[in-house]
Amino acid sequence: MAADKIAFDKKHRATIRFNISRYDQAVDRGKKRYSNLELAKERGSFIKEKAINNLHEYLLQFEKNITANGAEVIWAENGDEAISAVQKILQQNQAKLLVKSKSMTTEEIDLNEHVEHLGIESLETDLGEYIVQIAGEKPYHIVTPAMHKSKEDIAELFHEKFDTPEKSTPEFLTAYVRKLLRNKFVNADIGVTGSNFLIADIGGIALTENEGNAMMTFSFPKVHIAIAGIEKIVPSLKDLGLLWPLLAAHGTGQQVTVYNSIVTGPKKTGETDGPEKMYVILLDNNRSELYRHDEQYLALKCIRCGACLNACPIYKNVGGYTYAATYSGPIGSVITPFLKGFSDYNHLSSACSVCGKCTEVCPVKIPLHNLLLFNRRDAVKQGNGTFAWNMGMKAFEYAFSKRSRLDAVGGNLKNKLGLLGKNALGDQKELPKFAEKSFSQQWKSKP
Amino acid sequence: MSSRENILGRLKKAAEKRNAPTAAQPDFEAPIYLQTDKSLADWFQENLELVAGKVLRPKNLQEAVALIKQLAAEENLERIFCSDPVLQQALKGQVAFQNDAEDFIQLQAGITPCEFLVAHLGSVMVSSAGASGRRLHVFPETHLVVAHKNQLVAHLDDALEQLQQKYNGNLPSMVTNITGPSRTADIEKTLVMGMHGPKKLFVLLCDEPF
Ligand code: SF4
Repeated sequence: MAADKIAFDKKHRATIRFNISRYDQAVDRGKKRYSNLELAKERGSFIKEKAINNLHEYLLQFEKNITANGAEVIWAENGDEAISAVQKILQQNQAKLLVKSKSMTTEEIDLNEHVEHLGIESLETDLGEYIVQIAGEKPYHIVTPAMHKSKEDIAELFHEKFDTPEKSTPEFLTAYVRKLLRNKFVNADIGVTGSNFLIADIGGIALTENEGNAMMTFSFPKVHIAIAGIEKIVPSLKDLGLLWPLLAAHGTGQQVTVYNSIVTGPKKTGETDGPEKMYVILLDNNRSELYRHDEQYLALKCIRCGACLNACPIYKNVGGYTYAATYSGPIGSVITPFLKGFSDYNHLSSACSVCGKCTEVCPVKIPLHNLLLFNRRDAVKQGNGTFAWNMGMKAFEYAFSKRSRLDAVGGNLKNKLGLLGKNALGDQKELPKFAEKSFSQQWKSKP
Repeated sequence: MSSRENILGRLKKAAEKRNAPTAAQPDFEAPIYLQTDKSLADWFQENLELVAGKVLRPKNLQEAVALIKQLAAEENLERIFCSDPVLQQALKGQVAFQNDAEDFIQLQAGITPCEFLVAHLGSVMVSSAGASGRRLHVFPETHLVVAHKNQLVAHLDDALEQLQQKYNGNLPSMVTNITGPSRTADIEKTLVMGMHGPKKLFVLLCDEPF
């Protein structure tokens, strides 16, 4: 759906408001389990900042340790390199079916489309992701992919696609999908997961989930591929004692997510089951470009909890699709210009009222609203404003810096000049009409 | 130059140029979670039951087996899978179980031991080190964990620390901290149990170690 259509769709607003209000209640309960949440956040921030400030060292450590555990590490500069690495593995294994657990990194590189292009089925197995996949859509929210759909919408979708009874309940649909996907897990050749954390000191990846589909994905197929952004590093295993509960408290309001797994490699000699091969693809895709920026690089601390999305008054109203990017909400607005280009995505940094709610909720203390301002500054420096906008701002500055200049022209002409800048306000707002004589002129000439 | 060298090179160069000051380390000792004066076993039970797990408290392994027998009847569990030699020994003659790869796909329930129980979260930490492997912890509709009091720790940090001590640089290929039965809230945030993993999780927590 086009961004402007969905942003003003009242039913869509009601659905996200409802879903976010349920999230708010849960998070309230979750945070009450802490006696000192502030200190927990300071620790989280410290750990991720240490990891990011020494990123290349920790990545080397991770690579060395997980390789010693029997996994293979592949470095990818961009989506193309990651995709061709996956394609090579698929071909080597004559794969027919790939099962996937939820991963925003694979969304970033459009993995499904590329795999299906080879004639190989690529199946999302997280319920929310599965729903958006069969609807032919993209995830709406980084934690709750089908947040924009009501239960009626989903029942109708399944009725159309699978001929399930009309108005099926969430319980019925869940059981239906469970059964359908069991077969797929058992028969899949390749399992693809993301990674919430890359653990440097032991050489392992960590995965957080509630459904059990990630566990199925890395337990049944004979090959496991984990695709992770290079910023997912944490220095040590013990950091997860803090980060797992912190991520849950901010992501869903749970005390801790149901399944928190660490995978340190393929099946070991003497172990009962598990993949014969494990690959970890470390994806840059312009993260190192973001890393060059002395303020914005802090956004790489993000643990993708989604709290800033749910807290953002803009997100609450316009929703996830309007960002037209993999990562939406405040964190998406900070990083997307770096991942996908300033000229096309810097407007996201400006669609912010600088209320600071995002910064307040962030569990790793990323100063999100400040970083958005730095993006705006950099965009202007790079001259990424359009010509008309820059000239307009200059004219504005000239005219408004002196009262007499404002009255140099009459109301009619002002109305016409105002129309030149109409797009700046968008289609949904109207410019007020200027009176023929300004207030200051009327005051001076009053009888 | 390879992608690896390019990426690492850029990161190194930027970090050196930035030379960001190390942030002051916050207090890593002070408690951040609410405390309790309950016993670890009671605390564990309370927390796991908050997330829809069930905890039974037999005296010893023998009593645990009797409880499993009862549960199997109540829950109509017919195809029960158990791979762990110690538990198999205890079940023998009391509860019928399977352990053949061909039967795996048909199983209804799985019985496994665990590594640790985390009282603060009500979590069961399992690993692929034992005969249960990876799959048996997630595939069955009902998961029965047989554990004992010496496996209880207060916090997740303690479990991770003891895990590292136990395996001394040779960690199992998979470690999972399980906190309750599988669930989803992907449809309108409505909670539904048993999405892909078990619908029911029972922990039989024995007083006496085995
Ligand atoms: S920026 Fe902070 S609040 Fe937003 S998703 Fe990342 S960790 Fe969560």
